[in-house]
Amino acid sequence: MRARIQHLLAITLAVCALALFAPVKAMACPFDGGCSSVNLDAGAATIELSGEQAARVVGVASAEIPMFVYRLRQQCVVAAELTGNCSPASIRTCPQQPGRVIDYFFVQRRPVVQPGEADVLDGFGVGDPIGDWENLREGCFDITDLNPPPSPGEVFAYFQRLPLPRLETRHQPPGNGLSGLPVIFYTDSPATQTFTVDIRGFTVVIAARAEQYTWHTGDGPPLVTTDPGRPYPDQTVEHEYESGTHTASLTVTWGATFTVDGSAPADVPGTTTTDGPPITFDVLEARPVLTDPYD
Amino acid sequence: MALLSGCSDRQEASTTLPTSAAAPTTEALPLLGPPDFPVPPEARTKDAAGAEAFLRYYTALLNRQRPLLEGQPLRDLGPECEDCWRIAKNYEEAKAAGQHYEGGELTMNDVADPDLNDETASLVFGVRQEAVDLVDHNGEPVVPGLETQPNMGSGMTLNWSEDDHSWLVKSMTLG
Repeated sequence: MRARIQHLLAITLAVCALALFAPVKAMACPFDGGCSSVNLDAGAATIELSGEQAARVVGVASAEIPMFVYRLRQQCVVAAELTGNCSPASIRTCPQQPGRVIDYFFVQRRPVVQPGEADVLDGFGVGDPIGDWENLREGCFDITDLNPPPSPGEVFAYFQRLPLPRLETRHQPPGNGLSGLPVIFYTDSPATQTFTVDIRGFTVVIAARAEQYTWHTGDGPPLVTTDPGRPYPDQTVEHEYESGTHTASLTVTWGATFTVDGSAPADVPGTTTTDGPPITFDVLEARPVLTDPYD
Repeated sequence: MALLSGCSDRQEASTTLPTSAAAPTTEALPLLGPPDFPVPPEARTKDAAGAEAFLRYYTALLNRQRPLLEGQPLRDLGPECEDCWRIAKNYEEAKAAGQHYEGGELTMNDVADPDLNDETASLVFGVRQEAVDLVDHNGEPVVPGLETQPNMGSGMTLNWSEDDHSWLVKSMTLG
């Protein structure tokens, strides 16, 4: 019986681990009930946990382990199920330790049929989970032993440290500009880049893309666009300068999606920026000069 | 409280019909739930029978709202219930996407005696869920469907609401 209970516990925690770390959009069960078997059949991430591991990770007395199945839920997941969104207010942070996976969870438990209770409900036997999930406690838990796939927040931490390209600013006319003639800005540097990183043994592919371009003209407020601009005659970003020497640069805001071991892509929950190298150019004052065409 | 006065006091004859001072009857309960599918009076008593009746009503409400793809009544009667909100959102998102459910009806198999504790009732039950698919306007499944679940171990926790004079779903687990 103990083996069966541990098996149930393993399945439950596996399903829940799937819910915890899968992208929010892919996690919600589309049906009223009975989704656990779908997730298991799909062969998605499976994390097994023995009773002793449950006792250690969840922090309950060993004697209680056979009485309940347990699950850990992130507030973000709960909020997403309720409202469809995971707001920053739902994310709780925990003190981190190098090489450990520590996150904030709600611990829930659900009773299983105990010996002597086999007749409580038709069709259920000892060890079967029945009843409702109830909140047991909440807090920071070290789940390193569960070896969960990287969470979106963990991927974001890597994303922020990636050597994203610093996009160069191109301008037209090349060389010096002319007052009264707008200077055209654009960049022809790649706006996407893919990185493959190893996070605790998981192969994580992060596909970064430039989402916003902030053009620092050096002369007034920056110009913000979602496109990289184009050269003449299809320009979309231009600025008219007074005469003088000016320095311009480009800041790019990067977003990304990620996959874990070939999973469906999910959004990285946050953006990061890179500053491109500045360029300096002169804008000259045009001065009319009468000339003799026959001279 | 009714006040009695002595017979010796002179009183003018009343020109209006007397109003009942009796305790409110179930007929006087404010409407709760969809107007054409309200919470029945037997589900609005603060006892084990009322809790079980509410469970059966809410299950029937799920069966009613699923083809309608309208989730708000589920939220109204489960304001704190995460799974109720999840299901409500499922219905509404399916409607917005031009999808609908085929199958999925719930049938109660067995209900254990409710566990009442002050303002809360905990119910354990087994429920059958028919095979279900979420399909697009062409009838093509948009996600892998579910086979019939003949007896899902389930639970529901109810809170008694004095304001509504009814049970409301605090949490629910189907399967």
